[in-house]
Amino acid sequence: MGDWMTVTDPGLSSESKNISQNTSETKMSPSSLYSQQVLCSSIPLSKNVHSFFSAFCTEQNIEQSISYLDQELTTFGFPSLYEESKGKETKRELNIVAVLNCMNELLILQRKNLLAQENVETQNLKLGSDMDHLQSCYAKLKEQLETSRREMIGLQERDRQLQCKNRNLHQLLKNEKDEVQKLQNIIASRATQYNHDMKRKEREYNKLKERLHQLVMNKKDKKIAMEVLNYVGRADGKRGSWRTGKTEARNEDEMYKILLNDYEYRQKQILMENAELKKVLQQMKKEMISLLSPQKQKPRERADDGTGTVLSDVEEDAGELNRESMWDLSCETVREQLTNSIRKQWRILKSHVEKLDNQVSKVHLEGFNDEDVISRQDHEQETEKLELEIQQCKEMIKTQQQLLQQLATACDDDTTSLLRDCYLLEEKERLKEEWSLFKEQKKNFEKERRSFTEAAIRLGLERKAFEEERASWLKQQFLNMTTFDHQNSENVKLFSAFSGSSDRDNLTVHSRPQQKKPHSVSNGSPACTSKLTKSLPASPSTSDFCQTRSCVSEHSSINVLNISPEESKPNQVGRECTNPKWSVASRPGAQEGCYSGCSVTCTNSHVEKDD
Amino acid sequence: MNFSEVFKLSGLLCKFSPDGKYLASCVQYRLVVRDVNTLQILQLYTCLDQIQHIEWSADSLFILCAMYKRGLVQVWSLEQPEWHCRIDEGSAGLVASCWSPDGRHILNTTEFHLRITVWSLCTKSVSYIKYPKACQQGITFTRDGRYMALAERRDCKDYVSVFVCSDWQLLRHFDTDTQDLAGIEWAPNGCVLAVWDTCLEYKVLLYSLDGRLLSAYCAYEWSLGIKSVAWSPSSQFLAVGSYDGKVRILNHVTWKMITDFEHPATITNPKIVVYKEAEKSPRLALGSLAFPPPRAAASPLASTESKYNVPNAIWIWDIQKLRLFVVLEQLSPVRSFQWDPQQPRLAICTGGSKVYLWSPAGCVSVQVPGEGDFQVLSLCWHLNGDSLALLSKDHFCLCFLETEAGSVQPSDSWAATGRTCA
Repeated sequence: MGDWMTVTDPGLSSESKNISQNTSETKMSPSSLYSQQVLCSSIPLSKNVHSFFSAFCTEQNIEQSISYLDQELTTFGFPSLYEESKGKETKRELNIVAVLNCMNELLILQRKNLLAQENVETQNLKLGSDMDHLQSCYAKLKEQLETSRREMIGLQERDRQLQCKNRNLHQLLKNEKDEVQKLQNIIASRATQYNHDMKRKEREYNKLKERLHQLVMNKKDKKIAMEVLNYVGRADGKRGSWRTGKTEARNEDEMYKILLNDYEYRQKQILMENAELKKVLQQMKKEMISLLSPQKQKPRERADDGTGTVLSDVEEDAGELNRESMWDLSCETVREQLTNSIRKQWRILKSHVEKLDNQVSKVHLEGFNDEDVISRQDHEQETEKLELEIQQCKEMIKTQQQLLQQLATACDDDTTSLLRDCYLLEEKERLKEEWSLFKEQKKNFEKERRSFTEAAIRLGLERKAFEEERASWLKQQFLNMTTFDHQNSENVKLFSAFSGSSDRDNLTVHSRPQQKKPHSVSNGSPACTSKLTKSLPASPSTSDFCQTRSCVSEHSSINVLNISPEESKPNQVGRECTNPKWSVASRPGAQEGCYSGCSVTCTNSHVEKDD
Repeated sequence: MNFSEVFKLSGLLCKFSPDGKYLASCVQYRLVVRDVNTLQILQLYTCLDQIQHIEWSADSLFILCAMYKRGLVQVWSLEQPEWHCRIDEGSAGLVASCWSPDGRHILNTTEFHLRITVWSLCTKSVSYIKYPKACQQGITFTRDGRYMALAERRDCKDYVSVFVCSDWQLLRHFDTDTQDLAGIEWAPNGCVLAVWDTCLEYKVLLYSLDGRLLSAYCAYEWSLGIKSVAWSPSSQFLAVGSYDGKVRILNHVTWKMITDFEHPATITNPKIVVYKEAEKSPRLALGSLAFPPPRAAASPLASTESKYNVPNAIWIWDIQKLRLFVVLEQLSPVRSFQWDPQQPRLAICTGGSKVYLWSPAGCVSVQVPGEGDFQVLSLCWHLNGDSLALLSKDHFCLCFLETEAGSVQPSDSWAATGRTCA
């Protein structure tokens, strides 16, 4: 920051600084003085500068100062201020041209420097602001870093705490698990104990029961008996049979028969179910094949992941399975084939259906959305329309009511307004009529104009022909009169060009270099000089200066220096009779004035000619 | 829907004969047999004491009346009113008495389950079966009446004995892998025997008729187990209800669980119809619909937790689709419910004066007419499903339903679960 400040400071207040420097360093080396001079020259007519000038150069030390300046300038690579002396004895003359050139040069340099300085300053400012920005960024980032660091620390702390918690929870879980294990063990032991107790109790109970049994049953209890009027026959009408080994075997047989019957029944059921399922499967298969076969070509064309081969498999399988002999076979191989083929077909079908589903859902979604949106929009529009209508109707009703009231209360106002309306309408009508009239006129004018232009073109052509004729005639005359001046013929040409088309104008420009002679001739004439003097104040010195500067930037400075003496020679004469300052400023202007002068002379000559 | 006049009854002892022709009912120590159609008294038998249990023989020829207090069983014949038979178990006592499927033998269980005495009405022979197990359901006969399975307990181990009913010959005797066997039940086809363990352990064992263990199923451990077991009429499914509030359905091929039905406190599925009994003024409840919206959607109750604990709800499951179909929510606890033997129709009673009927078409509640309050405590269907006996503490009446053409054979389509009040 401090650095930057020191750098920018002089730039910001260069003027004041310079002035202070000037005041403090009046007796410093000439080089510094020179720079000060250059700097100060940019400040127009400031009193400071004048006073400074007086301090450097006085009436007494002109020579010294000039020589000093010459010396300094030569050291900087400028041409000497003095004219080249022919002899050593003769006092060297101050070359004013050189001085002026040097000054110009210096001024130009000064400007350049100023510009460069300005650029540097702006750049400096930019850089400074950039720096500022970067510094602020840096500060922000630093802050961020700090906060994030803090956050990190916090998170670490939290993590640690959570880990701690986790550990505790783990411990708790372990404890709980242990507890559960313990409780389970307790339950198991209790259960075993309970069972054990139960068994013990039951044994006791059984013992008691046994004892009771003995007590009750062994004693011949008369009471335990059945009184029956007469025994009835068996329900099945058979007589009871004795229990023998035979009956036992028969019972066994019967039992197994029952079981077998049951199993057979179940098997039959299962077979029936199987047959049913097989039928369904077969039907499904057939339908699948019929469903998939029309698309057989398509998948093959598409060369989808082997659907073609699968389909061919399917066909083969179908062929096999269609044979009725396969129908009831349920051996492993057939089953496998069947399931495999079904699985394959199912996969195909599934993918197909999924595809279709996707398409349908897409379409559906789009359609749905569209419909939805449209319908809603329609609805809204409709409601808006209806609301508008209602509004309009209400307004109408209102206006009607108002009108009715107005009619009832004051019809005078109404009539006036109506009259006014009538007038307006009339005026409008009139305006319309006028407008149509104008339009017609315009049309006519356009027509006329067209005819005029055509006529003009024709005229131009005629004139051309006439000119040519005339030229030929003049030529003839010229040939006839050999003494005729060449210049005159040119002037004639020029005249024709001036009043003719723009094409001829170009010619005049090209012909200008040829007009040096008349220019020089007319230079002496008072009209020309007056024109020049008049033109000089008209063009402000500063603007001209700028022009010259641009010229300088375009050409090399030396070139300008070389050309100017030649061209400004006639002006030098004028300078002697006018203010020197003025002449300096007008020098480049004179250049232009020279050109304008040319044209003026031309016209003058033409006028002369005309006269 | 018509109602018969109200008859006297005691001990909820009222039974249709297996052939559907007669209706036996008890009033104190008298047994009254009526004609089902005319309800005229055909026979009137007088027993020695208050009857505690009656049972028709399979051929509807005999009725046994058990008087447990006195250890007595009296048998009456419908064909020969003068025929009588009295079986006295003496000091051994009597806790249960039942017919054998042939209708010619009576099996009496003595006190403390010391033994089972098999009395024959055809011969003088008496058979004893020792060590019967005192449990929820220790005796089961096959549907065809050929075999009887009996749970036994010897030396702290459970056994099952399979007898041939025709001559009471032991066919098979095998031990079961149970801690404390709680019940046995034959499949309707008579080839598979389901054996389940005590409520402390969830265990179902399936044995073939020849004693082979077909499969064992255990849903979970360390918790209260099976509450009840029921076979489907086709023997294809075995429903096992357990204390975890679920019914598990096992299939007959692999004996694995097909699905389990929960009894959630709240029903969110809108497809499930919940019938809720609504409180109405008694004036309007004149034998008409008590459920104004017959297919009202479920709306969860606030006290959902207690809903399951109070046995107010009947859950009906569609077995073809294996999902819950209907829930019937009653105002008072369900006392009894029974399927119509002919068609998917369920009769429910809750101890009030109404009887509720559900069928896939809808739900109906019917007020039992008559003077005073007829509190239906139990009910039983007639064989053909066109009449229903409604039992109250002291009376019973018959409810005749409109007979519909084309009766349906019992199928596996429906299953109902519910808890009845003891």
